Amino acid sequence: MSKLKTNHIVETLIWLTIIAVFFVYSFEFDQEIEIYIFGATGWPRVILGFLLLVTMGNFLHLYKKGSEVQKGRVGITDQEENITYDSLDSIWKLIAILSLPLIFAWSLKPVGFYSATPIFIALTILLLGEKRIKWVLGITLFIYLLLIVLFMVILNAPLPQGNISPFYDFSAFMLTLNTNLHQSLNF
Amino acid sequence: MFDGMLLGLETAFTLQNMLFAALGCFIGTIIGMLPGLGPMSVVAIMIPVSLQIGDPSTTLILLAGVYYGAIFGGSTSSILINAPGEAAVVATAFDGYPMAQKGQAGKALTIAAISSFSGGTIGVVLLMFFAPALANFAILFWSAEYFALVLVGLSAISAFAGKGKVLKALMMTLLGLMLATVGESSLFHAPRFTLGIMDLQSGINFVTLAMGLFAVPEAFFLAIDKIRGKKGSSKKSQEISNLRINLKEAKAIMPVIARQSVQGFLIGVMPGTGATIASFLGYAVERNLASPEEREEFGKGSIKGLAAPETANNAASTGSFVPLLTLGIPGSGTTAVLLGAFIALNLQPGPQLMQDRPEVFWSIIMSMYFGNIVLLVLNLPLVPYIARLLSIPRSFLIPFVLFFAMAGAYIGQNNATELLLLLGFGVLAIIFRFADYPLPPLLIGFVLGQMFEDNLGRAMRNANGIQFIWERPMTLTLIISAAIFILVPLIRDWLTNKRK
Repeated sequence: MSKLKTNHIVETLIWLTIIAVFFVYSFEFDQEIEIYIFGATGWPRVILGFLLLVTMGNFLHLYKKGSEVQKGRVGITDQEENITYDSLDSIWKLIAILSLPLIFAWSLKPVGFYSATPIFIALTILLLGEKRIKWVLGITLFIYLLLIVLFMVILNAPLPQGNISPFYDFSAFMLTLNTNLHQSLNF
Repeated sequence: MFDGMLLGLETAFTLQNMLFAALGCFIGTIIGMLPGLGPMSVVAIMIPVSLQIGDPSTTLILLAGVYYGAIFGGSTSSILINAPGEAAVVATAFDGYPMAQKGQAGKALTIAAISSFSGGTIGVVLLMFFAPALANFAILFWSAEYFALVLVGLSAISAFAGKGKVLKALMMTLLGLMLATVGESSLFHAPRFTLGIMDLQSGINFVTLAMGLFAVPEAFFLAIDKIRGKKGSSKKSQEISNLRINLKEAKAIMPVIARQSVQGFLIGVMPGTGATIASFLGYAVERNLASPEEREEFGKGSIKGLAAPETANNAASTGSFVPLLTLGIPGSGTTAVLLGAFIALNLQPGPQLMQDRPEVFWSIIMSMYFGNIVLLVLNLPLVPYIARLLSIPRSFLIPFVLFFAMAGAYIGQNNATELLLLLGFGVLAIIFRFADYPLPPLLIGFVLGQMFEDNLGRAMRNANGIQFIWERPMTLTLIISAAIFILVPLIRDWLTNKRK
């Protein structure tokens, strides 16, 4: 008798969609390559073929045995499996936690790394449940300083400076500080 | 050779060189611990600074110290916060992180320190006596053998075969292989699956994928879990400081360390394979050799599962110096950076180095003994303090990991697309965790994917087909080994189920 549940069908359909999307997209770069007889699409399509086979195998396995035998996960303890959460609140938090890095990435060009980073660190800490403002500010400053020392002072990495005043001015100030520091240390 | 060793001892064991070796280990360990920065970045950071020293032996001793210090540091972030900043320490997280979750972070870090020390030291002994002979052996490895070796590395997914999980693990491995095809292949220049985004032409960055798969879901689960969010992940502080390994545990990991030191070193000797395959393979081999009860523990906090990849990756890191020093061929990304340092110092690594500059050749090798001891002496007393990182509330630790990962991902490719990818992989990982799919196989597939395609492509091109599989005995042996690694656990599980 079938032990198939709706979520098993949905799961399989999602995998099949992934395979189909990759396969269709592979025609975009389907070209012969003189030095490589398999062409640009050869290897990806072989993987997709295997993926299709294994997906169908998994579906068959779910059909016969269900997902009961698939419990347990490498790298995760049983203690960690039991996460307690409130579903409505979780959706809100999921949106918030995923939006923050998205807005951070978007803000790098206009606002710049130097100004955007402390704001987003503080927001992340607040989102993760810390309400004590002194702690939020202290930890934000600590992480920010570590990032600046490593990426600006030691690595001299070209971090985005922003293009809107006063953020751009602040970035320029930070870079001047860095230059002066390097000169004084003869670094 | 003994004259050379004595000269090396004389050069390496001066106060100045010993201090620089210790400094290198210290800096490597500290920076290597930061998520998002692997040994290659750390060594690259240190090159301009170290060139100021002037003396080639001292410069290279410092850089070698930074290298193995960073490998050790990387294990720490894998064990404590499940954030592997480098492919070679991904397998360390399989059992190291669950141990930390159980309140055994101190013990896990101690095992990691001892395994690293043993793997590194045994590797140096092998390097000292067999380097020239092994260099000749390494160049016998062609694309066909490399392809087979990667296949053996991929067989590490057999570790996920228990309890009917093998199909899901295989699906994730194949997805990882698929993600590795994004961008331009090294065999030809045709961008694949880049969606027209220029930033994707160089492919997906490892740090972005690893942090997306592990750090982002961790932040999400922390945010939604009211209980875990309020405290540090480990509740038993007395267990954090409990570093002792009892006699039974020591006896259990000793053969693992012995086997993986040799195996890891030999894999490290092959140019282009390095510590990543060594660690995955070490994990797979030890899981297969373990008793049924011990096997059940793999992935849930097994000390053997932790000791195996830790020993193997350190031995392989030492082994990767063989092709660099004796042939002038970098065995890994990090040794390629080190090759740059050699050239900047007007040294040409290769067969002539041992004859023309024996003091440099032997002092690097001799300093590794000292460096490994420094790592052990430096890190063991610090273990209780490092482990206490876990008592820091997650609401502080997660932003630290996230922002270092994001800055690392951004700097790596110098574009904001990496941040969007990080987020995308994070969402994917959350969905996979809810659907109960194992994430490590995806990373294994991704890490080994490009090497797999490149070597398979070259081997098929050279042989004009797949006949290289049976025409080259070494390739055939390795492929049979891979099949055994995959099939044995499946057959064993099937027989157990049948008996029940």
